[in-house]
Amino acid sequence: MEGSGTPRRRSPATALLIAVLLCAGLVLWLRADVEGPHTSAGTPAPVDLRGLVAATTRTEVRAAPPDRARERVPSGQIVHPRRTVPVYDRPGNGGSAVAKLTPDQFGDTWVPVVGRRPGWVRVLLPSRPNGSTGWLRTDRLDHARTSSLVRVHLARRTLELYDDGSLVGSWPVAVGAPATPTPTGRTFVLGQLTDPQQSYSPVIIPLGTHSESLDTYGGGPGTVALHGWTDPSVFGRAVSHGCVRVPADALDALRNVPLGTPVLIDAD
Amino acid sequence: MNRTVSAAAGGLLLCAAPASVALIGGAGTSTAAGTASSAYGIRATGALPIPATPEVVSHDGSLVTDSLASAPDNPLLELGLLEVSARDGQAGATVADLGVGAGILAMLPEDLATQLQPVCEGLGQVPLEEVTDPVTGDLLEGALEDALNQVGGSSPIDLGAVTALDLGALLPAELTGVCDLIAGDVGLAEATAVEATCTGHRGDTRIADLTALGLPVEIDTEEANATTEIPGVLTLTVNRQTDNPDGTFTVDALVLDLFGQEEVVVASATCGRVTRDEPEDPEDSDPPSPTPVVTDLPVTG
Repeated sequence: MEGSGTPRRRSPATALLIAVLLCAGLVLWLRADVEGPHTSAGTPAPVDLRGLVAATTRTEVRAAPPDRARERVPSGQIVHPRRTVPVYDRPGNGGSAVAKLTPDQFGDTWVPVVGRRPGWVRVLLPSRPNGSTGWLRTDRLDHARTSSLVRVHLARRTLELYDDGSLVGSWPVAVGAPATPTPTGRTFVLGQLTDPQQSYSPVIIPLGTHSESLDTYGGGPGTVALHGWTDPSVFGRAVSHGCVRVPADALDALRNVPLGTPVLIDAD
Repeated sequence: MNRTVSAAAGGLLLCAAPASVALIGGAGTSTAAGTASSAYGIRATGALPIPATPEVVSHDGSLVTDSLASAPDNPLLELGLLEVSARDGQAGATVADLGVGAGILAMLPEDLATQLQPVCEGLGQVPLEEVTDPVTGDLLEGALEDALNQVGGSSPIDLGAVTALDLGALLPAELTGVCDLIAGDVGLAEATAVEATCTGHRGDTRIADLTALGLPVEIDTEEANATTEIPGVLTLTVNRQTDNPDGTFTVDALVLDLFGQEEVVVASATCGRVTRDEPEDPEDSDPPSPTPVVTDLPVTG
């Protein structure tokens, strides 16, 4: 066998190991020979969106700026990211990416606009904590306007649906029990889903808000939703775990509400 | 058995996977009137820096071009013709005959090169069936720890950099590729042409004849941010698309991360807009009708 002149014969694995050692050490060795500072060329290192948490109903984005106008009715403008986009804590060059927003969650992702700067919109996010917002650049978004608005009054235990500012209907609803209250603030219709695992409602309308008293519920992230209920005696009472249970005719009306429609929940 | 390495081109092909999203951060030069478009052929950061070369920036939106017949003198890269151009909202960069890593072998300490040469020469004489798994074709681990100790005793190399590697996934052909690399027959990565172009927020990448360790790399350059790697040694990212905070958009045709310590960007184009005409208040359309999706999200009830 050739190579008999070598001091000892090595297996291919050994050769590989040495090769890898060689490669891995090469840059270290080169670095020792290179004088002068490393160049940064004034260019910040790219941040991989894959390293950012997606703002969804299952996640928390602690760095997201809070909603500072929790009772103001949004304009009705809603936006949909055509592809995954970064969510910034501030508009402009000074902002930092704190999360990303994906094009779909329960169907297409539509979020309401609650602020605007040239080239930027501030939107409500579906992630925890409640009342989270973030800034998106406008050029990767589809823009639309919803004429609908949902209001939930906890003390009155009623839900109102408006269209273009006109009251469409008002219904008695079940809201969160004292130990598991429905959270107040402004949120939005995150999606529409049918859940084959349950029979209490033909459709469930998850909102972009969560129970403040339950971190998880039934294996889910504590998402608050609008949905029907089989026992009509609950309507007008504070008995739920945070969701808003609505009568069948209210659910029929709410099924037509576009995703991204603002939902204002107050203590009245 | 505790396997410790996964590497080389088989892993390379298997690892090739498009990322679903863009990158953020990165280059982009602002002007008071908007953002400039720019392009460069090659740039390296890390242990062996190479500034962006050649580089053009269109501050006023007019067309600027540059070219270079070959790479600046360096031990990392070999390059043919580099051409770059930029204008308002458009940019492009092309690099011909890219070779990464071949030249650096000449800089090896002589004793290490001498030590490796007979090992690789003997490689072809070892019946591979004796050292590979008959089912998977993977290399069987042997006296790796011993070898580590033998080499480590006299090497300036930081052995900690390789102890985390997983050697088990290597195929015999890949092993040969490594030795070819050592012999200087192939580079870590090579391509005959690399091109990046952007128009507004659209980026395109074209790479011809991309190889790593002399083996073809099958990676979809139409997918944004597709990556493939030899863990711990080399990571290739093609068509890296970056949304910059200043509103510019960058496409890097090929990005090589060497040992996690040296990043080489080949053919980069950044599109800005000097005269902003983007719709600040885009016309709203009617929202789509909601359609329920079937899923089992438990809500608070």
